[in-house]
Amino acid sequence: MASEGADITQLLHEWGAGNREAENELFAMVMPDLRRLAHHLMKGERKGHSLQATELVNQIYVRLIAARNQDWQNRRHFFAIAARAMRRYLIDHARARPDVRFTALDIDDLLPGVNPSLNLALTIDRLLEQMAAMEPEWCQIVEIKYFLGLSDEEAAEALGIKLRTMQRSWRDARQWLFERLEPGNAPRSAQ
Amino acid sequence: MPLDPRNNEIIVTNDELVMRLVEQALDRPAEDREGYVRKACGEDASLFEIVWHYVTWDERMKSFLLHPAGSLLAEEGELEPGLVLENRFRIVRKVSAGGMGVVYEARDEKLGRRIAIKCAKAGFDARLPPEVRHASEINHPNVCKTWEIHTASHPGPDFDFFTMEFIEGKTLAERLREGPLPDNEARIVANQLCAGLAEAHRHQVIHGDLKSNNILLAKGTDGTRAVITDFGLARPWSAQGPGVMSGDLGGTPGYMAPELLKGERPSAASDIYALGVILHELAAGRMPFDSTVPLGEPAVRRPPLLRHPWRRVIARCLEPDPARRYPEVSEVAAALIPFPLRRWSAIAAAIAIAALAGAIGYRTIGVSQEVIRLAVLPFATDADSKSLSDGLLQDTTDRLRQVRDKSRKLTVIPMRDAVQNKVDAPEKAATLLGATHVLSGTLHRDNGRVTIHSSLMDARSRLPLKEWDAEYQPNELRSMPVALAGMVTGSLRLPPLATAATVNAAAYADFAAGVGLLQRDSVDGAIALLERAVAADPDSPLTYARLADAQERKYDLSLDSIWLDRARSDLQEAQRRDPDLSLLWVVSGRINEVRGRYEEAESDLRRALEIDPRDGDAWRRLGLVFQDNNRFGESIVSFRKAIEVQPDYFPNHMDLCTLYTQQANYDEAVQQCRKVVELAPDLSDGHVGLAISLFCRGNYAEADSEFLRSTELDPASATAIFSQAFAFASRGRPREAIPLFRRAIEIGPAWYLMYSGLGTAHRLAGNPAAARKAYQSGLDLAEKDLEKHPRYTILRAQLAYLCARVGERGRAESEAIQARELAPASVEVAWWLVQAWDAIGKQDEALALLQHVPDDALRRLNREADLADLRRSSRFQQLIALRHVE
Repeated sequence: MASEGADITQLLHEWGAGNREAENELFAMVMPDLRRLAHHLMKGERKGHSLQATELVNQIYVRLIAARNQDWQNRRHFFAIAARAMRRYLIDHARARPDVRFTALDIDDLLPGVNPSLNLALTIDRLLEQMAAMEPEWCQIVEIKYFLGLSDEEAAEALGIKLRTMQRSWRDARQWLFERLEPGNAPRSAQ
Repeated sequence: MPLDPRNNEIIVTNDELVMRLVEQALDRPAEDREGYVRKACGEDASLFEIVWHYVTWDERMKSFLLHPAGSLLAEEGELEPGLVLENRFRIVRKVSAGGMGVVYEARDEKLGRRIAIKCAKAGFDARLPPEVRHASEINHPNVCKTWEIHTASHPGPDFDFFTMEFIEGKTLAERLREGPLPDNEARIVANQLCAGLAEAHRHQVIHGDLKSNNILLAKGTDGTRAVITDFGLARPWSAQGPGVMSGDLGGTPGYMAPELLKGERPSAASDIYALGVILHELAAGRMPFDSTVPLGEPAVRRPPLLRHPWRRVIARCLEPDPARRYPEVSEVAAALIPFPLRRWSAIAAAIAIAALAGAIGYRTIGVSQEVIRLAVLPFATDADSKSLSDGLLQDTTDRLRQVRDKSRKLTVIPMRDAVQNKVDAPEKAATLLGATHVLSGTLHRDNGRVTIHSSLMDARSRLPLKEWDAEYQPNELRSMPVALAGMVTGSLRLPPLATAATVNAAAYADFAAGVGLLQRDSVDGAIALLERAVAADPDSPLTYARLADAQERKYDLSLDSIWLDRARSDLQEAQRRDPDLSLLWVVSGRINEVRGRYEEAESDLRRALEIDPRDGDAWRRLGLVFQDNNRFGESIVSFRKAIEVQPDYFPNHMDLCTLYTQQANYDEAVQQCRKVVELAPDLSDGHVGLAISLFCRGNYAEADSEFLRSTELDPASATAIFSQAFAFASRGRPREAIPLFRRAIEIGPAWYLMYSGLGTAHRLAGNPAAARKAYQSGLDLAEKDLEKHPRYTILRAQLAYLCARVGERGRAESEAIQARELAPASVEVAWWLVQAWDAIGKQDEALALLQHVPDDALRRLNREADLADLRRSSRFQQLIALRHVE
């Protein structure tokens, strides 16, 4: 894996330039670890270690690149791809769930009712496709905050921007999505 | 008051300013916010617009998107492949999601083995009931082995899971969907189910939800194995979901006994009911009752009539009244055996018992009569000692009169009668006194010291039964009648006299402490204390016997024969004081065994068992003696008796495992070793034994993990290392074996088999010179060992092999022939001889031996043993094909 460090850098660059195949390759590399990360992150509350999730993603990064260089450009890309991969992963997972069934006779398969947050995630995912065309940076923030679930500080650090800037953009992005989520919300200019 | 950017103090960027203000506004109660913002922004209207914008949107959106999407997973509660629980269990894949639990295949990274993990489905109560803990005690091939129960805290809230045996195979339900089972297979499955369920009930574990879905048919090299899973799980896992009919009652409709539907708790009887249903499925390929009949409707449930030998058994299992069903699973199993076979098993059992009873040692000539009439003749002595002699004999007679035997009567004809009737020679006692046996002897006194010589004789045949000499100091005389009486009861196979051996107060503390030390293998300390005890209570046979015990153990450890001599002499002291002390005979048996005197050892142990039939140690030692003597059937019986008498004493199981392994009954061997590991999980040797038997059976992966475990537990165990080395060499990895053999030799003590293994490893790795050197070292050691244990036939066979490898063909042949004659029934011997013959190039002899070797051994030979030339021969191939042992 270490010898592929250069490849990953290359892949990240290519992905940054819009190469979808690079994206797929990166996903494949990153996915097993991300699953673990996802589980770790979703473990109830995160007890105060504000940079814990970042650490974990860092570890994955370091493992893959095998070098502790603070290449900001790469790290930022890496977090971005991690968040993108996480989004892909969660959505695929959500979509793959069997249709809800509830039957008194079939006691082997008792499932609860439709999961509301499931629907939400799917909707957001769809909306993000639109958002990406208009505000790519917002898209990244949503992926990092909502799909990867980093805290504000972690997200700012990962994106390499100031905390307050991140927070503002996050609010903007949320509002954009909120408006489009329910037909009743009249779109208003955020500026 | 607007915050001045020129004021270096705090905020610089617009974003920071805006967000800071937004946050502070949101900190305030809703009604105060607008006021605050207006004030904070002062005259900056556009700033106000912006900040206020964010504040109002925040109020509208509330927590929108603030909960990360990953919570989807948390709600699922499902474990993803790659997830590691408790830093130890790595999930591989989901296997099934039936019933109320999800099963995953996983890998126990700590022990390096494949396991299954079961946990509750999301939405169900995730805590395991206590019943499941009991299930983990059961160790039986037809019960899914569960190991530990763990609590994990991620992902999501705490949940319990437990680890269990990973079983590859279909459920019985799935298999039945493909079509009915052939008769013999159905019978095998039925028997196995009964065996597993019986074992569970023996442990007071009720299954509660037995059904064909819960029975896995595990594939194995040794045929199908039916395994019952999900013990104790059904009922108490409460469903949180909306109520399902029988789910609430905790069972599966078609299998639930009527009393369960009425709300009673599951019981052994309801398990038997379910068993009946399964038997019906096996017999007829379908369930007995129409399962679309709604539950709760009173039983208009008539099983359709079956024409099948099992129909009566099934009908009784399915009796609506639990009291009318079979009371125990073992009875179900017995009922399934067709009658003629049942009779045969009873006969077979009887023969086994008779064999044991019949194999009494050579000393019991003339014991079978109903009444023993023992004439005591006055001992020949000088005039001064006559009264002493007569008095002692009288004491002896009185003691003997106390003997109570259920089946035989002892009549003692006292000395007076012999005198009156002028019986001056033992030969006359039969005709003159009607005696069946005669006790006579001489007594000699010298300076107070008394020497007696006594003999017991069969009066009619005049065959001497026992000669016995002893010497007593004046203060010891009170022991003499006890000893003499004991000699008689021993020789005549009568129950011992009720003299409880005791230790006096002065000696007791040291005695008890010494015995305690002995239990802990602190042999030197034990010897010191027991010597003191002996000194403090010279009259006690017990102190001497225990001292001899300790000395024998010291010999085992040091191999210095001085200890053996001391032990024997102390035993004699004990015997002089009370020959009916069973401990004495057990120790004597050990000493004889160690000296290779197997008949004496057997006889000693039998005497010990007559005195105390519940002495498990004696049974075990008897088993070992039989084994050394190649009497395997009796050996197994003895070990099983030892187990019966001492159920959880692991050395019994270890010995039985070794025996079965040597006889190529690998299934039994594995079962015994599993028991050892269960009883003493941290005992490295237990894992070694299990590894070896698994290995022999061909379960290489599990064997490897057991080897690993054994070396983990005791890295310095030569046994573990050496066994693993053997495994490597047998599996085509000789290079890895070589350093291990060396290490084992280094750790020591040196054992010929280690050198033999090293030699083979070198040979297979292509180092013939090194191989020969190792073999020669092995041969030298083996020769020395054989001198000490000439009857140990396995050793002889191994010697033959070593001779063959070193080039001493002639000797190899003669030893091989001898070994075969000594132990024609020993599979282990055959194993080595086949290799020896092959090494000399005598394929005919090798093949001749192979004809009589059991299938499992043959299979193993084919897989493992280094039989280069033989394997190439077409006759070997034919044999393998014929016996279906690829």
